[in-house]
Amino acid sequence: MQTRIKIVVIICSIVVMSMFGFCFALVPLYSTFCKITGINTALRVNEFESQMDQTRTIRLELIANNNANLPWIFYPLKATVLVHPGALNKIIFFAKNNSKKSMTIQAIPSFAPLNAAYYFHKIQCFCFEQQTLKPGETKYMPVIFRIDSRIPYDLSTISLAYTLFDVTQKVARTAT
Amino acid sequence: MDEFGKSLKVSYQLNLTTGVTPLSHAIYHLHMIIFWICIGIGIVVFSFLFYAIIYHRKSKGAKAAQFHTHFRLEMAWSIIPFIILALMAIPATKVLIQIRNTDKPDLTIKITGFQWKWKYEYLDSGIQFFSNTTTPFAQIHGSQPKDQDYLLTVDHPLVIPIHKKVRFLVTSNDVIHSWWVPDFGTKQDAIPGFIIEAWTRVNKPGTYHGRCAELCGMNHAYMPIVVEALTEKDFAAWVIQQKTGVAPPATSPAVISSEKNKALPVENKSETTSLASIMQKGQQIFNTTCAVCHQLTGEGLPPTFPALKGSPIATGPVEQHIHRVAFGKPGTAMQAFKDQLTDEEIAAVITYERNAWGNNKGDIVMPADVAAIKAKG
Amino acid sequence: MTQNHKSMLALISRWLFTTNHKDIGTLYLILSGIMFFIGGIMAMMIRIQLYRPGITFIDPNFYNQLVTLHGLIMIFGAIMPAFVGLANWMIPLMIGAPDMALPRLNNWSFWILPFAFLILLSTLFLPGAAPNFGWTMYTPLSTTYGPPSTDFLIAAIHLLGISSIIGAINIIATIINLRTPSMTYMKMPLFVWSWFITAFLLIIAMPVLAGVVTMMLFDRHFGTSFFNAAGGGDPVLYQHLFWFFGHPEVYIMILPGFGIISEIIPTFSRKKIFGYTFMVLAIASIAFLSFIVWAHHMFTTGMALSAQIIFMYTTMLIAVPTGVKVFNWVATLFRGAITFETPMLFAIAFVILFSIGGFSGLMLAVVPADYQYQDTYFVVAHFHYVLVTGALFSIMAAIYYWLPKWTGHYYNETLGQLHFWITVVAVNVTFFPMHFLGLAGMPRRIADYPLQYTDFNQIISIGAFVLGLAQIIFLYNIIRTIFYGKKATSRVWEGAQGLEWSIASPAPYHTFQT
Ligand SMILES: [Cu+2]
Repeated sequence: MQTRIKIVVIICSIVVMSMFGFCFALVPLYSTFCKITGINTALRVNEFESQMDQTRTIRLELIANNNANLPWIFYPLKATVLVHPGALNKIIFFAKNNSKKSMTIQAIPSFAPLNAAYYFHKIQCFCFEQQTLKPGETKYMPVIFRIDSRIPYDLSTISLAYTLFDVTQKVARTAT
Repeated sequence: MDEFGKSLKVSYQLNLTTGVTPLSHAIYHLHMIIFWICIGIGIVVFSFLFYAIIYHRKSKGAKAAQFHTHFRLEMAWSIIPFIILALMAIPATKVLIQIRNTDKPDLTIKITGFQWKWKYEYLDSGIQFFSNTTTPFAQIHGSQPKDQDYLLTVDHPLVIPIHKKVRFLVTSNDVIHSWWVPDFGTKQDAIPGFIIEAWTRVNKPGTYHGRCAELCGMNHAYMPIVVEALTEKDFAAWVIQQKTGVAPPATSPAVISSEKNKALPVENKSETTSLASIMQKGQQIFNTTCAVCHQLTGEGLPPTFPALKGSPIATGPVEQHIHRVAFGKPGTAMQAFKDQLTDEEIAAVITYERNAWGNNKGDIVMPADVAAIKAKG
Repeated sequence: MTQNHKSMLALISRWLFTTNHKDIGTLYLILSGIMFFIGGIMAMMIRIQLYRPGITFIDPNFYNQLVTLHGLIMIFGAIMPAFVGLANWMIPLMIGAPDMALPRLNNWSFWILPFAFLILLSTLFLPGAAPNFGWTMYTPLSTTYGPPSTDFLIAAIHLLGISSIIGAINIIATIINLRTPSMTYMKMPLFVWSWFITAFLLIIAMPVLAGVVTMMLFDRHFGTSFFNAAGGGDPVLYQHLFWFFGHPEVYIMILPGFGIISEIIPTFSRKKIFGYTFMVLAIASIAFLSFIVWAHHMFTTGMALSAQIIFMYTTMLIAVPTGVKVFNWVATLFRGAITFETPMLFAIAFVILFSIGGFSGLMLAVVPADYQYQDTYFVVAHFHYVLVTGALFSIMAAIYYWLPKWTGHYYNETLGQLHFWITVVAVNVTFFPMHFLGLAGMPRRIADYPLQYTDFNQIISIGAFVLGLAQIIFLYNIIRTIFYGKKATSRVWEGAQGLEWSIASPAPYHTFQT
């Protein structure tokens, strides 16, 4: 009898441990899921269709956000660009550190509608790396990208937002 | 109810609003269908229940029956609700697809939630402004009778045209908020780092009210939403007024990104000369803009909202004080007010802070000082 | 003097070191009662503030702390320990076991709790603020913007989690191993079945909560970015993980209640429960569904359309097994010989009022409508119907039902009926108008509101005070029953069936010893 109880306890403990582990496993699972559905990712991967489609024009709106009142000036040089699916494009964002100390930021992209991210292929992006600017320093930050020509017809307007997050302290912490 | 000043307009609104957009109409109908389904099921089930507790009482001589299972009956009442639900799911899915429609909009507005106000940016025309509650601190704390529109007013309402598809891109500067206008059937969480789409098409001009719907910290209750839906013509006129900086008579002007601070004229030059009048103006601004965190007494709510009374900033070098108000303190609730208040207003509020609550520094800050520090960055 | 001293020590060590399931059950119930009154006082303070628009009683920051602690205390302090206490007391008696399978662990799982709640309540006295972001602890309000006391909250939740998990394992081990030989699984009382399934929900869901608050702790102090967009995390991921725990948690708080009602209705109808097999299957399917509906708490976060549709369908599906339970209870009542003692009154009120909570739940499942209901008082009304007139009513019914067995005395029936009628009226005066407020556009968790909501809020506040004060009758009746009252027979209720009624009242300290 005592052993039967032990078996139950052991099995239950295994369930508890694995659910605790499962919770952490959900984090990478979720980001895989997000990659597929296109939430919050700097997509660099995917094979894609680069056949240029001159007949279609997609309106791309560029949006710049500063998180937590970040004292930077940040805006796209052009707020709206028209692009053909499959064509190679370049857009530029302007950033200026308006504070009195050197700051490091991480830019996080976000798309509306969500599934646009799936068709948006970035070749080069300032969001791939953290950006450090000295006080008053300015920088023109490019994004080179292509839109997959298989993009559905109902995606005629896409908004792409970059939000700058201050990671100065975080970087300093990992450095020490 | 004389505490509320004018006699309280009693509103016993019991049901959801039908609203003024195709979405809010569709949602209302769905809400009523599911409501009547629930009422129907409720009547059937509770009839049996009440029949039993009225007629099958032991005191009435009822003898307990012996049955305790009936397979077919039980299968029936598993399957019938399932069928009702499946039928219900069809219109629900249709309306949902309509809500998530991503067709080309006529106008896109970025909505950013802040602790505790909203910012609206018209991506097509570059107009942008903050929208703060204008309910006076004294009314909130009961030292003044409450107006009829208590917690329903903002300084700069969102202005949109009717009969146009207006797309909202909702995001947040700090914590999660939720932008909700019941009359539009639009509710969208504002999440930092993400832009999320919502849309509306209003079919009736008017003023519509909403509120932040997601707990976002201390003043969650104090970030109302007001939307003015104008006819196309009025909207076009409003846009021109905003762009040229000529204030429309009804509302005070919003700030336009390219020409910040030019809009607000100095109200009365001669009045701004005496300390008392500056203090008075500063106090007004402080009480509506700053006191929610730093409190009327200047004692704040440490540690989140520091005291100004006797604080190193408010009693130290004036340049630092101006810089803090103009540029905020990143990462905290203290925001940069350089685009939200005019130089005049910043100067007045700092003057007030440096002379109130026994801070008695005797400084009178000039708008030019503010402008100089803003220029230096 | 020394004599007194000694007997005092003996008393303390008896309760501190007890491994007797009846003692531990009593301890759980006492703790639950204390927490119920603390959480209730917080609710009263909230209602004073909301009686009139404006900041009239407490400032918004403290209001948010009260909202947070009221939720946590009522869920983890009042409802859950009450159910665990009932399980400790009754499961061994109902299955003919001498005690719980793991008596020593049982003692620990209880004594962890007072410390957890001391830590939780101590946050009110720490510099800064107590946790002020709601019991759902959404990031980044609870991480980047959370007060320092959040770490205490995380510690308390870890302790609560450990306690619940140990308790659940104990219940599973007891039910699997200690049933009297003639009691097969499909002969177990429904209360035992419901707890058996609840215990599995606990060991699956609680570790996820532990994991998610651990991640919060890491984000706060160790520079990770699980939920921080700056480091590639996602605040919405927090909500997914939290509700993956949170939705099963909702059923953890109602399934044992289903079990209790399924015991009480047959007793006072003098008729066997209708559709036993379907009742067991319904509980099991509700438990299963509870793991695939979590995202219905987050329909307005901007998740993918396909996800919204799937979660809407699964959520609506829950209505089917829940409906089966209600229909079967009504069928049990039907053509019975019904009497209306206090436990039965609470049970019938449960069936009706819980159904109302179920209906509003069904309305909330419809995503487009949820766009209007989400985060309003409609939701507050919904979960108070489910948790107060559902879970809490089932606990009150259970206490009246089993109190004669525990104490050997009948409670005072007149006081019991008085308590019931005041409570059932007050609960509806309190929570029904919340539906109207929500539909009229009042968000939840706001400390202040526009004037148009004043009237209903005043009605609600009055109802809440009557509801709170009525519980003093309940408390008095319980204490009175412990010491006085008509001697109870071993059967207690005329129609009672089951092993727990075959032993003497009060239940002897040791039962079913072999
Ligand atoms: Cu908010």
